[in-house]
Amino acid sequence: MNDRERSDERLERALRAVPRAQPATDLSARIIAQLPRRRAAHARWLSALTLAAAVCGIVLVYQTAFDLDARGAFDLVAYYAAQPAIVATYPREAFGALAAAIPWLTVAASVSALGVALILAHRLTAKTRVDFWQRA
Amino acid sequence: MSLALQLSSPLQSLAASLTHARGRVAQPSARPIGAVAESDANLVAEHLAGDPHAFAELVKRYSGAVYNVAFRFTNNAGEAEHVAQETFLRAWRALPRLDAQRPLKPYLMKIAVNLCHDWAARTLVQPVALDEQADELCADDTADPFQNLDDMELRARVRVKLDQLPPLYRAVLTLRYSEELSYEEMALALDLPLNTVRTHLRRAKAKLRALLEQDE
Repeated sequence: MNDRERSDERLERALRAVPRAQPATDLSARIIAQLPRRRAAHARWLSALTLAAAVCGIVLVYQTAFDLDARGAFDLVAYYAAQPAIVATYPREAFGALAAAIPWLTVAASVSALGVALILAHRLTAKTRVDFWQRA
Repeated sequence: MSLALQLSSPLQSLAASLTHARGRVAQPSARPIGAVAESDANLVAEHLAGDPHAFAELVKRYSGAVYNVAFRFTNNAGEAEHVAQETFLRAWRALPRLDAQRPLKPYLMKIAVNLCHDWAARTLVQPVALDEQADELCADDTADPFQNLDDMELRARVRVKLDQLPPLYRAVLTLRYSEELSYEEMALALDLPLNTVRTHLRRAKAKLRALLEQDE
């Protein structure tokens, strides 16, 4: 090893010995403190949307039930249950009458709202479920 | 064998496994004192799975290193803190897209160095002098220019002269000798080809040597 190589080694040792610049003692805490707010804001937004979709779904289900009752669908079903021969003899007319009594738009809106609520709830709880299964 | 006995064994094992699973479905873990350090890949996976303590652990692990590199580049404590905060914020956002099997430290260093370059551009600081001819300053390839200095003196002078180097050279030397990154990790952190990293390192040491020799 010549003198130059020795001086290179000494220089590298001196560089390794340079102390690290030390941050303020609370730097980590300040960095961590700024992070959860963003994640919590996202989770709160998703929770609110899930709740809104669920409430819409429940309201629409109630409205559907009310409409079904007002249009006599429940009475029809009760009648068909008591008189099954009518359904067997005149199936097209029986089911046609039932179909006319169902408020399809309200039913579709209820199913959609509940579907959206389920999807959002699935997303909201996805991380918890992943954690559960990973630990299991 | 009676029916009760036949049923009891599967039921018992089902009950046991449910109890065991319930016991393991704990709250997101606070880090137990004295636990063996988890790998970065595990912490990233736990963070992505929703453990609120995992990313905090990564911050505690690397905030010092990120601050060190940022401070060496900018020579400004306030700016280094800002770089450190922004580095982890960007890492937080980018982690879902990151390959968790690759080392995290060089990736964090890359973000920090990019932020330092942004700072240099904003403040019109040249990361490296454009007329560098450091290689020519040390003509003597065999002599030991520090032979009259003991190790303590040399270290003290290196600490002083380090501040006189261009920012990029300070960062390169810090990454290599203070943060102990390999050449490949430095290439990732600096977003440069491996040979360019070696060139920068060689020039940084040559420049430092030239500054030290000026005092001799």
